[in-house]
Amino acid sequence: MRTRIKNWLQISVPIPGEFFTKVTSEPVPHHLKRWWFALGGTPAYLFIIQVVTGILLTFYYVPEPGHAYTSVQRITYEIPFGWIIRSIHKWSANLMIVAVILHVMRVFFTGAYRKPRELNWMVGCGILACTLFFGFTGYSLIYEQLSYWGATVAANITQNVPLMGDFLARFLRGGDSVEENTLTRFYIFHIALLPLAITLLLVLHITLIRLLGVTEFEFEEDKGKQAKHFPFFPNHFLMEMIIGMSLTLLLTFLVVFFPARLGPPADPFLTPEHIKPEWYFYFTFRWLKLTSLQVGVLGTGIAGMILVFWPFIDRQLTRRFPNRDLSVWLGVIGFLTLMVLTIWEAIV
Amino acid sequence: MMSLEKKHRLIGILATLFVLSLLVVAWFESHH
Repeated sequence: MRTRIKNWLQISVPIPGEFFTKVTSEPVPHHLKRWWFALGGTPAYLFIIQVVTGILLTFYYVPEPGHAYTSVQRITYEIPFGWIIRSIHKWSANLMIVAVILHVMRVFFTGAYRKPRELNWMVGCGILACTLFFGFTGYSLIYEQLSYWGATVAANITQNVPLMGDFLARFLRGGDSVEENTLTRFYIFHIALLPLAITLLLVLHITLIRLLGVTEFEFEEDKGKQAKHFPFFPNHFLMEMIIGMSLTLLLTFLVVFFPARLGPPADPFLTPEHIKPEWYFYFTFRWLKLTSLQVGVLGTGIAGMILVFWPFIDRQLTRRFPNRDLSVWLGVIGFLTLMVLTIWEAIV
Repeated sequence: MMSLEKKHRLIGILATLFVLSLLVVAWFESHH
């Protein structure tokens, strides 16, 4: 029976078995045995969790201003297992952002974005941007008071983007204020456009990794060792599985002890005393409060551009100041600034 | 040039600081 199925499959899908062996036995550099060098697979794993729980949530979510909040309320308090699915969706989104940031940090500080991997760094920045926009649109869909006003403030901030601010804000809102069209647009972004964009970017990211290979690092303790590489399957695959299972454990802990809750429903006529975005936008929010709106928006845009084009900036810096590790120290300053701004926004 | 070991340690310190800062943010969020 097994042989018959195998034969039938070989006739139906005429790809030789050696192809799969070749694809899965890619040699992986020895340094990837350290689990924190293997964090790149984590966002992909969390993204799959997001897709599955997201599809389940769409069965009950209603993207209309009059029903959005009550549908989330139903999911949280009435639908069997609704609270678990919503909480997994929420926490895996947060963990995905953390994982992407940690992965970006690892790539940045080891200089793994350097030639010939500049384009892949830029693709990675696209994935980071999509992840953040995912978080923003998803939070806005809840249509509670804070998420509604968060979306309103974000759209107003967008309006201050030089040259195309008005267009961008109207495109985002679908009108002059956050209303019915906005929710439909955010919903389409969240369940269709962003998943498509991030899937394409992930495919491109992984394809480029396979084509260019993983950056080779050699730690002092690895020097002199005979084996410089180990096979992707099963060694690296199993390690990714262990990371995945540890994450599942963490996710379960967060879901059980800190389940997703609901604030009061959105009221367009009542501005809350404190408007705050989600934690991953705290740094921008604090930066905007410290400067004027125009300077704040421009500064954030410039910082984003610097991040995207960092491999090319780094090349110039290394040429002018060789052996000084300027990139590393600038990265430390940038990272600490983001962290200080984030904590500052949280404590006030 | 900074050795790979030192960069490695630096990443560890920054990642720990990052996770700790998230815990600080979460603590303040729940107490506001």
